[in-house]
Amino acid sequence: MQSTIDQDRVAWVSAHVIPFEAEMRARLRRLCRNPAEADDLMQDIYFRLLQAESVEHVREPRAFVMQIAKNLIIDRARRDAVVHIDPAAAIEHIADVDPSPERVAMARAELKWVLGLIGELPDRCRQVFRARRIYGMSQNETAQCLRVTENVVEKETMRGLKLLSDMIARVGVDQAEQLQQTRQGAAADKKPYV
Amino acid sequence: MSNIDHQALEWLARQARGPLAAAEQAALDAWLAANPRHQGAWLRAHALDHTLRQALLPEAVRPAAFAFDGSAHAIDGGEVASVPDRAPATVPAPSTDPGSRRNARVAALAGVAVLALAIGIGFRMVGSDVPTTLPLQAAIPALAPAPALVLETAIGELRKVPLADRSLASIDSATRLEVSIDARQRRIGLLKGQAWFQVAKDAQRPFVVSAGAVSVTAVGTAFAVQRQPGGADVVVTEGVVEVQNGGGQPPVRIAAGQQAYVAEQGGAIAVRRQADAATRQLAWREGMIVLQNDTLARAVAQFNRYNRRQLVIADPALRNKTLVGRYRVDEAEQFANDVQTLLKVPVRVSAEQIRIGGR
Repeated sequence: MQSTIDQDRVAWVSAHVIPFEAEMRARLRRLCRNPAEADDLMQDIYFRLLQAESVEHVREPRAFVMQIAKNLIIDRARRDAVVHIDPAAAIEHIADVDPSPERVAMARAELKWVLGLIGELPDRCRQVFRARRIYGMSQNETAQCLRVTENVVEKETMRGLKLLSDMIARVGVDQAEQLQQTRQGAAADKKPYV
Repeated sequence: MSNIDHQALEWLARQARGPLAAAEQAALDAWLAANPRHQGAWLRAHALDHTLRQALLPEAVRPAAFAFDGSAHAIDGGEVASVPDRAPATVPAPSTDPGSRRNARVAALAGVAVLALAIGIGFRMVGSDVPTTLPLQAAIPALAPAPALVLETAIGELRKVPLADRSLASIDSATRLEVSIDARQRRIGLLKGQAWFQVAKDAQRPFVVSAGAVSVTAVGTAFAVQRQPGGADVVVTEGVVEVQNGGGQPPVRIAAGQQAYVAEQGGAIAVRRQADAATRQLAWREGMIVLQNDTLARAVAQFNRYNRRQLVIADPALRNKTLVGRYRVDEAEQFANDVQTLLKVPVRVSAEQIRIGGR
């Protein structure tokens, strides 16, 4: 396994899997015995996506990913020689998902969604994140601007990334609107004017 | 969420800091080889980073984005506090008053610029693979004309740069600007490419953009200038600017929603009013290309401003086909695929170019 990954594959996963990850995880949790198993399964799915010969031909990415999940679950059931009665029926329909929304509308929703997630970060974490990623400041520059040590900047950057990673697992792009509203409400409470 | 995902993110961060030492690289390889799930998490970490970069690129070039998180804080709430307080009773709700939002935004921007100056740092190029720093020496007010600050973007790069006078420049791909701002004047030379300026009000120091012999003068307004062969396109989004060329005629006024092509040497300046077109032409500030019955030739020229891999129209008969669509500036291949479907012409993709039409 090389540590460098094909950038086209990364872009494809970024566009077609990451925004729907929360939705996929929710589906997987219904088929697994516990949340940890669903997390494992999601990682196995990413591994299969990495191994796949090509993904460019895939027309319905979400259905494609759920099909991978289905195969993994069946493989596991065979290997374990254990038949799960409950998921058996659900597995039949696991790959049935609605077609993806229109591409352009999607791009706009994604933007809102990701920015919404960043807005959810704790204050200092968000300040560091914005300085580093939006203004493109270096670690040193950010430290001086925010009057903290570089060590703090480094730690907060990492913390922000991990928090965003966890949020993406919970809040999908289809919940962007909802998130936006909650946040505007919260901001209005804190700052009545400006 | 699993610990493995967090480990992958840590490796990614370590890699982003610079090339890994041999021992570190070996440790990463070993970690990846230990478990297929580590490899899955590694792909996910890359994709997550990619998603953030995609979302933040337009954020970094779009001025209005400062209000996006509702708090209007650029970096730290402390800077916004320097805006003179207004009595709450006289201030309408935040979301309905663009003026007050803009104040906060300008203050926020100024905060960044001032802080940057105070500690003598440069701004890093956003979204570029090889970060380059630029000194901000022109931001220092001085009686002698300040040396010009050169702002440059590579192909495909968009930058938003706060200027020393609290104005803001959104700089398009493949552009070179020379900025001279001191106590008496604000002069910008547009050597190539395109930029949009949101000009801070200052009647004492007119804001002048020169594109060859064409000069555009503003006091407090927002407008874009794009160099063209033999002249420049001027698009005004707010307020009024005065435009003059090298022909010695009196200046012509262009107002919000209007645009004009100004030839460098003489000739009347024809001002057109097309509010929609103005917004559409400036979609690049959001990293977008918007086509509204534009010809294929024009669309291709737009994509080629942002991408090293050039689109080539192999069949001249296709040049004047008109198209409607909305794309990110880096979606040239997607665009070519759509053209293939729409016009039923072959498209050939290689490492250097994407050929549309032909055999």
